[in-house]
Amino acid sequence: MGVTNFFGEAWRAGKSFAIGLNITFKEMVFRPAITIFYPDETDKVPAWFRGIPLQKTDLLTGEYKCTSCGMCVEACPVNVITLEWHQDPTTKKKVADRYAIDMSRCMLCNYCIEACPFDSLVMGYDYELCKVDPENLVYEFEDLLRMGLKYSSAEQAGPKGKKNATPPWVFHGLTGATEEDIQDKNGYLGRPPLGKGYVPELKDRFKKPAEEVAQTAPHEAKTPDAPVVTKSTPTQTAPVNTNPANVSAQAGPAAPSPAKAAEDKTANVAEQKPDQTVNTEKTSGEEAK
Amino acid sequence: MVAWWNSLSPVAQAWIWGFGKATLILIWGLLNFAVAMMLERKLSAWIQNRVGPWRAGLHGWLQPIPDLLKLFLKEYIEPRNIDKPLFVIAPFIGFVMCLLIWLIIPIGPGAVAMNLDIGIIFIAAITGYDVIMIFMSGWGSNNKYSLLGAMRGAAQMISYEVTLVMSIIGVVMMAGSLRLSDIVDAQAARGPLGWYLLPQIIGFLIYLIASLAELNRAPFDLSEAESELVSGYHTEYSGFRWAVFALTEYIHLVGWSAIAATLFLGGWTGPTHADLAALVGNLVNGFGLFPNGAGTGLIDWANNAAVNMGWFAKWIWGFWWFAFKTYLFVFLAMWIRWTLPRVRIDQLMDLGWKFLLPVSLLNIFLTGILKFVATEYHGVPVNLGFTTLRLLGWWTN
Repeated sequence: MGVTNFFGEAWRAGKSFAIGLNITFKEMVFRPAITIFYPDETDKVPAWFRGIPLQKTDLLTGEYKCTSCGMCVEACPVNVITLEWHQDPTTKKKVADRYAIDMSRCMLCNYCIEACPFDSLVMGYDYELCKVDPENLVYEFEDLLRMGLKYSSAEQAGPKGKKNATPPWVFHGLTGATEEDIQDKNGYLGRPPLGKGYVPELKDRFKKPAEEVAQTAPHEAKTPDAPVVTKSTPTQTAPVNTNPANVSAQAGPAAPSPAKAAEDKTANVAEQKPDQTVNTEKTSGEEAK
Repeated sequence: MVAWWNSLSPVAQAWIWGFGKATLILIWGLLNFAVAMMLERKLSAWIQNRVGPWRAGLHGWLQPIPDLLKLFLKEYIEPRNIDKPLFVIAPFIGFVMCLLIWLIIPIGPGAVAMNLDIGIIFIAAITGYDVIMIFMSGWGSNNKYSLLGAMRGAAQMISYEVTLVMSIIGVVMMAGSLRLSDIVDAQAARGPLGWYLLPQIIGFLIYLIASLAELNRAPFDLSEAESELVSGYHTEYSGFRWAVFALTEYIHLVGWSAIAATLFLGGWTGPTHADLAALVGNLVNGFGLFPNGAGTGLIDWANNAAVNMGWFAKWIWGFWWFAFKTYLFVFLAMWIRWTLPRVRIDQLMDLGWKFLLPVSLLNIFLTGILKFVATEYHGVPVNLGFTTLRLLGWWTN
């Protein structure tokens, strides 16, 4: 360091020092804080936010869009998707017995959504997924469907086997569903795997009208040799399950007639509530007879 | 009470008085720690467009209390193969030494715990123990990061101690005394423009830089560089032992700021309410252009108040100015910390030995020459540079 450099460097150091202090002072005094007081207020997440993969429901027909094709399972890099299915002998369609995502290992890569040929999966923007028990981080089909209602649309899917016109990366804002629609009133969300034959209770606006149920009923009749997928009560005209609602509505001795169900839906809901948690094969079989 | 006090033996008086002062200093230090730590967290938050601690107390300003409570309750983790006596005692050595600084700092007119005649030398001496604290903790921790941090800290602090003392010598030469209260009195006699800030501007800047290095604060926090050494010399500490390191850091910061305020900004001296009233009176009078009753009355009242001011009012004003100036430097240190990135160890050594030390020696040389000129040619008009020297406060009359 020569003598000429000596003062030159000191001058430049002092100058840049003053500039830096000026910048931080401006930031300190004039720029407001960008903090969001998280538990008190939450920020809006961007449209491309990847929170949790969810299952969509076609709000027009009330059926879920998943066809159990297994593409998402293939695509998943960390193997967190569990899919078990059987073939419905009548319709020759695959019926999902269990579709579960282990959110404790999911890395939110969006690959399953990109792989889905039926636009059935969607990345939700729900991010408050903490659970006390890690077991509860396994999200079952019902949970995924329930949370996915918010992202479901009433649009008809495109031609069979083709992707929907809506690109899968448009994640939300397609439906008028509100936060109220996905309230976890019965504690469904994120609980350990339930047995088969369980039907989540849906809001009225997502239930199928009873007449429609009666019309489509024979089409989706259940056969005894197929594994029991779900169990339903007469009032449960749940769109998220394949068929049992129709079965019971049609043949269940204890069930009220479809017309009556349509008349006082709320009364029936209240009446049949205790049955919803019963999920044995036996009960379901009795009703079917 | 007075009779009881006088009835005690001088030895007992000294002990009781000493314990009282020590307790006051401890409380003062802890109080300063709380304020400085909160200030640091809030300032860093504001600079980074955050809000900082928010939940405890109003806008989080009571955060140090839960922090310290938490650290009290935490476990003492001790790694294997540590040198236990060194490991345990190191933080407390630093803590005691940073409190010792407050012994000799006058925080008001006559309010000084020990009016040592070697004030500055005493500070330089006890600062040496910081090196020992850092090296003890680094060596005792049996950890490579700790040892690296300790080596760096020792090298850095020893280097900058030289510069620091050299930068202070200019002030000592001007005041003619090492005693801090004498330095404050000399500045009080010269008036606010004669504070050693302007005449000793080179020494002041060097003192600022060197004290930052001495305090191990950014941009010179090489001994606890988080991104390189996990936490430097206190990597292995936890619980209250770690808290003592934090206490040491902040009390030290306030202590060095207080020394800076005392040496360069006139310590506790500053305008009192009498001076302010006189200023307002002068303004009302238009500085003598259109004297009127109100202004003259105010000036009279101010003169009266200045003469009759009780010791308590003087002490309050002195304390206020002292705290204000001290926290000015604390703020400056924090502002610098959250502005500048960390320097490399070779840059640090270059700056210390190749720049600051020569410049501080030059400052001593200049101070000597100017002092000689100012006393030898006192009152003689010096054509070239006379105005400058006058402005810089070398000619006092």
